[in-house]
Amino acid sequence: METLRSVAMWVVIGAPIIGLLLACLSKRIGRGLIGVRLLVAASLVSSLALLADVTATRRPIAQALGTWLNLDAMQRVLTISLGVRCDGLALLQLVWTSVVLLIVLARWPSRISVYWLMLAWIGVTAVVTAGNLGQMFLGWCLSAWASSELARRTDDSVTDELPVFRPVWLVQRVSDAMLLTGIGLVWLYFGSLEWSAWTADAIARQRPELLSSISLCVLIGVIGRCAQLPLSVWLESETGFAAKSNRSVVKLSDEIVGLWNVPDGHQVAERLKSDPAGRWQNEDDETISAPVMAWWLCAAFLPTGICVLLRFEPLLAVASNTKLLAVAVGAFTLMLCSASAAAQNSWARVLGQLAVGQCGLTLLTMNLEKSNGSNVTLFMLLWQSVLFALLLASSVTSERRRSNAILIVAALLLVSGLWGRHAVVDVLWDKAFPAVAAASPAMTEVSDDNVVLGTTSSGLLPFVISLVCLSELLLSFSLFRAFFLSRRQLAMSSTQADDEWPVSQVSLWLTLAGSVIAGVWLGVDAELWNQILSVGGTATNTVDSVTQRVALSAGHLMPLSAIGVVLAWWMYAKRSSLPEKISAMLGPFARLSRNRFYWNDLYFLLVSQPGISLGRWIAWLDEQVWERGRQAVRREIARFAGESCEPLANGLWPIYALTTFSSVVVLTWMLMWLKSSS
Amino acid sequence: MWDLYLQPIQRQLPLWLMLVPLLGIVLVWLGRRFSEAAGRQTLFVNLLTSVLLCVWMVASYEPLKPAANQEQASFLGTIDRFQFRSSFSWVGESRSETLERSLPNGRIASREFAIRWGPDIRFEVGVDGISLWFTALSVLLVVVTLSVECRAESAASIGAWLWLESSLVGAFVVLDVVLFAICWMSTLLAIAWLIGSRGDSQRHEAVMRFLKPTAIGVGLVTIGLCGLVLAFGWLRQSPNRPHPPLIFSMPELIAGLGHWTAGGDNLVLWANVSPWLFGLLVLGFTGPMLLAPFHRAFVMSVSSAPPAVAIVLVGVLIKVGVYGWLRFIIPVFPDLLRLNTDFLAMLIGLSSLLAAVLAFGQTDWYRRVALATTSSVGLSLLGVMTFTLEGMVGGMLRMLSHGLTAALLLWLLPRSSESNFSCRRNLITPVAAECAYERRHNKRCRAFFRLALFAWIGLPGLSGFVAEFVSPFGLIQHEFNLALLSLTTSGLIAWMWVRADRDEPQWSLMPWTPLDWSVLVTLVGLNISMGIAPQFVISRIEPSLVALLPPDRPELTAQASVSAGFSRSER
Repeated sequence: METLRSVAMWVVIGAPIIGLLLACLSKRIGRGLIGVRLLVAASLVSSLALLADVTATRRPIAQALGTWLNLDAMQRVLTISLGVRCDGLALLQLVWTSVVLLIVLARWPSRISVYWLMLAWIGVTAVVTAGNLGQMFLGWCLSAWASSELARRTDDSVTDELPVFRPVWLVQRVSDAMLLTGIGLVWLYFGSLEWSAWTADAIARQRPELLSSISLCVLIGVIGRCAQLPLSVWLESETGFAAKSNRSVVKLSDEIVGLWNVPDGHQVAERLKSDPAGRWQNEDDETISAPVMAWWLCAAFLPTGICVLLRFEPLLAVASNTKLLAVAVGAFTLMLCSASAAAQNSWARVLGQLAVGQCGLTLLTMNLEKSNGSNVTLFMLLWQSVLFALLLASSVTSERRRSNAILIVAALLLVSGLWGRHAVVDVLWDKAFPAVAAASPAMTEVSDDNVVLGTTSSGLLPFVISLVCLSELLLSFSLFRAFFLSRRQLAMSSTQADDEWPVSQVSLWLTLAGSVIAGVWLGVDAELWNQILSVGGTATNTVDSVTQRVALSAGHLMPLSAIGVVLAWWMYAKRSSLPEKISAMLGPFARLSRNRFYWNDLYFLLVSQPGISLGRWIAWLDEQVWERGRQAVRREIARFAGESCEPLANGLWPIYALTTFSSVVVLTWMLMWLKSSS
Repeated sequence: MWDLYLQPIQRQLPLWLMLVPLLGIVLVWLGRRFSEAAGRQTLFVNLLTSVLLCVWMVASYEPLKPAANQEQASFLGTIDRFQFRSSFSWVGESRSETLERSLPNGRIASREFAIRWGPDIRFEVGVDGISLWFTALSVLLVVVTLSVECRAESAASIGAWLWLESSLVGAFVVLDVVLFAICWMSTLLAIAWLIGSRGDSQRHEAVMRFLKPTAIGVGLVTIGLCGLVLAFGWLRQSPNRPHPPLIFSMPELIAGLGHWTAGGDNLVLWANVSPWLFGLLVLGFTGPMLLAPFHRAFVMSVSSAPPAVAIVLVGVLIKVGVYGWLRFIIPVFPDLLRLNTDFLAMLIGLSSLLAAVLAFGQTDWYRRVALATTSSVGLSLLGVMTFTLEGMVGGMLRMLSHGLTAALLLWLLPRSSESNFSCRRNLITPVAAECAYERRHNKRCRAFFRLALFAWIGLPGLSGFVAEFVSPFGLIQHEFNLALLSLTTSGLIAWMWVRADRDEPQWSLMPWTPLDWSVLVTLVGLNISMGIAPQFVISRIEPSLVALLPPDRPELTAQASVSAGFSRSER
């Protein structure tokens, strides 16, 4: 048993690294892709085996790999050890990452190297299995960087000339900086970077402001990672959500990373002009392929960010202001992203917005209550991630005709909200309407005072609930609206499918079936789900009596989902003038929604443009004012000195003698003064 | 063979590192009298020897080596920090002097000692964990650039290059304050000569503008260090010893000052003198770093200098000031520095931020690199000023990483002046294959170039990440706002590079020779190695930096006793 455990552990550690080597060796993946798929499958099986093992033994497994950095100043030791620590949460994430990776690889373009994907996989594995904050940060940065590189590599039309950096990476750096600050504070005040550093006693000893600061830093890091507003620019830009007619994200991306500033007639300019992607005209195109988006949204960014936040939950639990901010950000993102999704015109855009919106719902519910529903929320996040990944993979244009069935099944499963969404909303519902909940004997405990909104302002909960209800309606509406629109577009297009469809289709169906079975199993057996998450102590705080509820359930919002689907069918199943009429009726709201509430324009006006203008202005000031002024002053001094020292230049010996004598006197005086001071 | 030939060399590796380039000047000159090829081969052998000696020194350095004897342990600490020491008398003489001491029974005992008289200036070299890596970086960058550019250089230029290497190594390995000032000044003159003789049309103005602040800086440092020597002499005056010898040896001077300024009869003098000396040294070491808003001389020099000279200038020479801070200011003036550190740190931090913002407005790659370098050096100094091990290690790592990265970046950048590549013009690819070649070549250039940018920005697995990761831990300990300022500056630099990356340089079409490849592989390999296994570097730096930490920290109780032996031997 011990041997099997070790083998499984080493497979989990080694699979991404071997995958990377494989990707390096086979420059253009042909057969290498099969090898990578096998590695991912092996990792999935190993993770499942380990998950079963740790659930049974209720002990996490750890494997040290060495020390990356060690600074021993005796008072404080900064040690970053590399290793694998598999507790319930980590293994669950590993399983989900492998599943998403299988889905991504099922649709991976064969001409594109999986090098960056494997590097990102290593990064995600490092985050997930980190035993300390240092390794977590290492993997955090690595996965963000490699994932952003992935976007460039998957650009079909332009490969060489496309700039390597992307706004995604810049926004991630903001997130990295804040997270690093939080980590630094943890190290400074808790004395260690180990997860186990913040015990209840250690937390109780710290000042509340400090805990709030740490939580805030971590929260901003997670907000950037999970593309929550206001740090959602990377996702918008990368997935090409911008309306092409205005100066929204289309130009924001260029403004952030800089315009091509080569003169007309220059070699680079000519090359860019002949670029079929038309980047010379700064037009945005949908260059990010669906598999990459699936990877970003469902494995590398959203769940990773949320799970890191979950690890910090003991700190967040005592930082009510930070939790309030998290609730506000989550609700805000959920509402705006759902509304934006309802106005977008492609699967990728709709799914991207919805995925981020659902992440907002996760953030909201995780932070709303004192005894929260984190376990059910995590269930929802992970299962919905798989469904989003499946939808993204199925929506690939070249495969679209054959993937209609899987697309509609996955969409229905997602819309149904059975995978935890209704359970999550029920937690909020019970909190907002305790009188109704009190009728149910299981819900008597939920009448505790709300730690975030406070007893006096708990009336805000119905407002949050109404936002959630509206977003639920918009989710189902936008998902099926996108489906009907894409079906109409498909009928007009003449896209040919690849010949190798059966393998990817079968693997997608198998993944869907497996996820459904696992979801039903774990969704019904709430005790098992909680038991998995409680292994290792990290997620212990998330288990509470309230959330011993069944995750797989239908809830109060089911009718709203149905209404959304029916509305979408009514408006978009056939070509009609109804959408235009409704859009006109909504007026500015429709325009706001189409333009994603001009959020990116605000970014442009408040961050991008001032930063660039300031840089240019200070450079101008430096060159034109400071430098010229300095030169002018120098000229004046030289002229004055020249005139004053004219006798010297004329060789008047008394002046020389006087100068020398004065210098000697001054030096002697200085030495005597120094001597007398002693 | 080991005992007879190699061990003597190993014991004096820094000395050999200084001497080999000087020998090279003569040998290359002799070689060129036979033929051009012979001269070049001699140069390569010389450079290879320098590299081997440097690698040997880094590998042989034992960071935790115990002091050789009790006297040394009581004098300089239990760890033999300065290793491979060689010392030769230079200026000064030995005299016998009678030391009288009152005994408890009232009698006076007298004893004759052979002691140094007057100034004790010695040709003394040795390395500790700090200078070890600066030396390695100097050798690497000079060797790398000279090995590739040597084909274009005249005999005089090669002589200047070797002179530069010797004096640059000397600036870091010498352990005598006079010699330090000489070597630093010599380095500046060699660089100025190289810029003046091989730079672009702006070179004469650039040389003058570069030399003025740096030479003034060296002058101030010289006065400050001489003041330290004098002050130390006065501090040690006693009825028994009215004229103690002037000690110019850095380890003894620093350890001695640490002890004598902690208590004694002459503290009033020190209280009067130390602020002036502190001011002189701070100005002297910080001035030549040419931080913003006094950056224009540096920017102009980098823009006008030949690529190879710019690499040395940006990669290592500009950091001598930070080395001076670590070597003199921090160990000698801990109290004064702590008193002024908030003000100084805020100035340096704002200067770095200003340089980062200024880099935004630039369109020329060399100017961007120069301004980003100014910003990076400022951040390194900020880390050093925190008085924390993490900050200091972060600062050191940032400087090393920056040296490797900036060298790679500048090495890849094309020059506007074709004359810089005239030596290789005959190797341009035939016209028929030009398109395919250009595409392939551009792709390679872009890949290496972006790797350099990644490393500068601090992405995992590359050298910059370690520095970006470790520095905030020190800054947060010192002052939270300073950490935020540093992170903001790093973020701005990242944004600047992201913007700059779209303005792709027009790559030179000169084909890469095997030598070029070896340079690239070396720089990239070291960058990645430092990112993956930083502990190799850190373990060598750490003990030397721990010795600089202020004595109120428990780990420095050993340091407090460092100069106990000094007092005993003096008294």
